[in-house]
Amino acid sequence: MLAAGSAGRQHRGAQHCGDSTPGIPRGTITEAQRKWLEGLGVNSAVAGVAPGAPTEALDAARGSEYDVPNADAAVPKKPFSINLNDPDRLRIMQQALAEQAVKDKKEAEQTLIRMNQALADVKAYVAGLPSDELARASYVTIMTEVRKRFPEVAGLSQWVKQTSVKVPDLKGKLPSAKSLMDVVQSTVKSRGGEIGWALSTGKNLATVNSDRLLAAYMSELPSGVSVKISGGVVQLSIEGAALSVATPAGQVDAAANKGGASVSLKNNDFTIQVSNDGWKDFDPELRGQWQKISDEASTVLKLKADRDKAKLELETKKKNGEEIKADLTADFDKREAEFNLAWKKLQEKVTVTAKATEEKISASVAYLKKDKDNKDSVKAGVDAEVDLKTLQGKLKAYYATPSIEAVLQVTAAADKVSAKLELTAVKGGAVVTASFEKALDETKAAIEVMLREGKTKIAAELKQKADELSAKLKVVHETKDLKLAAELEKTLKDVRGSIEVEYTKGKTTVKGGANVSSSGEAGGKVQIDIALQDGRTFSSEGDKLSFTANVSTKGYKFEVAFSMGEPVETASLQDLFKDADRQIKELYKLAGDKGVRSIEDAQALNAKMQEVMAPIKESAAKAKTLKKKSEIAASFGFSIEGDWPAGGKASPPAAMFGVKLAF
Amino acid sequence: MSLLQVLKLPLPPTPGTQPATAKAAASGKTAGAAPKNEKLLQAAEAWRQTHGQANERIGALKAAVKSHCADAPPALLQEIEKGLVKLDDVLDAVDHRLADSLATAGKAADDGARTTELLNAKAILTEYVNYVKGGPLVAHIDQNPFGVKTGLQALLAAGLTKAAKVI
Repeated sequence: MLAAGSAGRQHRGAQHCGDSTPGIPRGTITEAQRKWLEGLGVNSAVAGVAPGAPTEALDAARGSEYDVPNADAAVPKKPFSINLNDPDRLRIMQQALAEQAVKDKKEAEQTLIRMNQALADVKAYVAGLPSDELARASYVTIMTEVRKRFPEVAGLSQWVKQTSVKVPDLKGKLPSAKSLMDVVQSTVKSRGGEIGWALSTGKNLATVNSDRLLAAYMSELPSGVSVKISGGVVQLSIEGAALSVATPAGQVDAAANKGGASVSLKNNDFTIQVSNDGWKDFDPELRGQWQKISDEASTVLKLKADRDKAKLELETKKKNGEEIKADLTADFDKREAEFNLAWKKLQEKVTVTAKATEEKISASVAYLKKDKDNKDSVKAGVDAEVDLKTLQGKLKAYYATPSIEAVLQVTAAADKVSAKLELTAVKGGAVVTASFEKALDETKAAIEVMLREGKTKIAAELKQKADELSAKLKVVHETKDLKLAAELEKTLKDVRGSIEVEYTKGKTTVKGGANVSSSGEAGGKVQIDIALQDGRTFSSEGDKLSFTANVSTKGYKFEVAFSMGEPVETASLQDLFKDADRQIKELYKLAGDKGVRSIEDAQALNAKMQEVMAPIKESAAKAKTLKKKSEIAASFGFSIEGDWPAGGKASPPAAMFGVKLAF
Repeated sequence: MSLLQVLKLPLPPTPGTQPATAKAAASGKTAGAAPKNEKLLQAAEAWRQTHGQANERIGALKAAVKSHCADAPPALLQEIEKGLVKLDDVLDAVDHRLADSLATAGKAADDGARTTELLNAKAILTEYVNYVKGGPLVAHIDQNPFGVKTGLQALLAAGLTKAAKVI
């Protein structure tokens, strides 16, 4: 993970400059930072500036030169004043602007060289096309190949448009925005290509005109935009990948392309513990370890009984002179081996645990007896000492004659002493339920999701149990009743198990990794996640053009349709595709917005989504169409033969999803 | 990506199909097609990862700027927010098209289809390289004075170099 810089270091040098101008973040933004932000188009003047800043501010700003924009750079020593009446500030800004202008010009000149070279390459390519290929080709096929071979020219039109604004000095030197089409067309014409095509298509002027219009669009629109004409309707489309967005901390992963909705229960540690900082010698695991040994001893005892039974059967058969089959011997050998192994392991465990227990309990006894004035503690220490001696006696007997019965006696003695110590520790300690509460909150949130999804019956039952857990948790805090605590842990485990079962049997899956927020959101089940996963179609039908945006977590497709009779100016389409791309990304970003994630009402969510997509419609409404044949020819740079088809309204492209939102 | 792909093991033939070599011969594939395809798929995944890292770094920078300017007046803050959105232009310019193209090439049915798609991938790669090398925004991000070492140009250049090796 990338370090996000040291805020402390950044602020250390940014002292208050004493500027009395209201509303200005005094001394918090350095000159270098201001300049950097301005490079992103940030208008720092919006902060509002009052004239006549105090001289301290001016002094402070003076000498606040552009810091080296490097993370390792020294901390800016002078604070920055954004008073635009400050001559120094103006000088710095003017200087920065001048520097930027020089830089932009230099870059534009370099790009211009590359663009001109690319156009020359295109010309050479078309000129070098074998005659038979040229005869079979069309403007569309040539333009497709050109864009593939010379990707730089695919962006020429947009670059020209941007550069003419950014570097006005170059305006006269820039090629035309439609120069790609011009180059291709003039080269084709010079080779007599158009005449050949007209002959081969039987002078079908509609085909010729369609071909030129398509090629013209291809020459000026971004490479990702596909163009076709069908039934007199121009159809443009672009497809893109879904945008993965980070969801707010503590919430679910709403990233695109997750298969199926899911409820995730992440906090699987929900133990209730007692914390007793003053008594570190007691190990709360001790009792559990001995209980485990006791269980294992019972298992070994059973293995021993099985072995003895097999042995008895074998001996009886021997005694009676009966035939002893191989499988009987094998069965005995197997049981004998199992028992021996388990018994060996048990003895090893007893030895290790006994050693640790003696040490820890001795330390605990010493701790309890330390404070002579604390009679209860001393008494507990004395009792524990007695119990420890009993345990040691049992251990001695076990070591002298190792047997499972002796182990069980040791475990009983160990349980007695550790239980007493546990009680003493609990009495003086505090109940820690943080993990439990976190898991309980998560569980309740998942139950809320179940409710929302209509699993009302099961959700109601589980909710009641969860509420009871909350109530009983208070009792545990008051009584320090560890038995009750264990019951609560078990109940919570059962409730979570029920949720998992409920989701596993349906289409959805339960998975670890993501979690559920305390605000009631659960993995993939937030309405915006569902909406994006199921997909939404946004469509608008206009007189000039219609569009459809199909957006889902699998990706998006933005399509535009308009009549060939009144084609839309390329610049308008460039703007429209740019706006659509931006707004669709904004739509995906809704999945990361905490406020939107809390929207449960479908209508409210649809309204929010429409609001985000609205700029696309505004952009479409601004689109300029070309009505006259002369306008079309001038705009696209090709000659038109015969009549141009009549205009008309185009229906919105096809919807891909069930939920359609029309503007 | 399947587990076999993750472990860099060859994918098993689909039941009922011809053995790999016979099928390759029948469809015009060369013997080296499978490893090549595998490399292309891996390269596609690698580029997605690079893109993801770039996204994280830009996100960290945005967070640092917002945090630093948190006390600014609302109007200025709004301006800053608007300005920071422009940082995403890098991810839009150097997007997932390369990975998509590499993946398409990696899944190509025959040499011809792969070669054609690789031409497309090469074109995209060239576009990206030009942007990373000459795009002012990448340099602007790397030169940020907010103490965030983005190293975006180096990261993207390394990612593109890796992709270029398989094309």
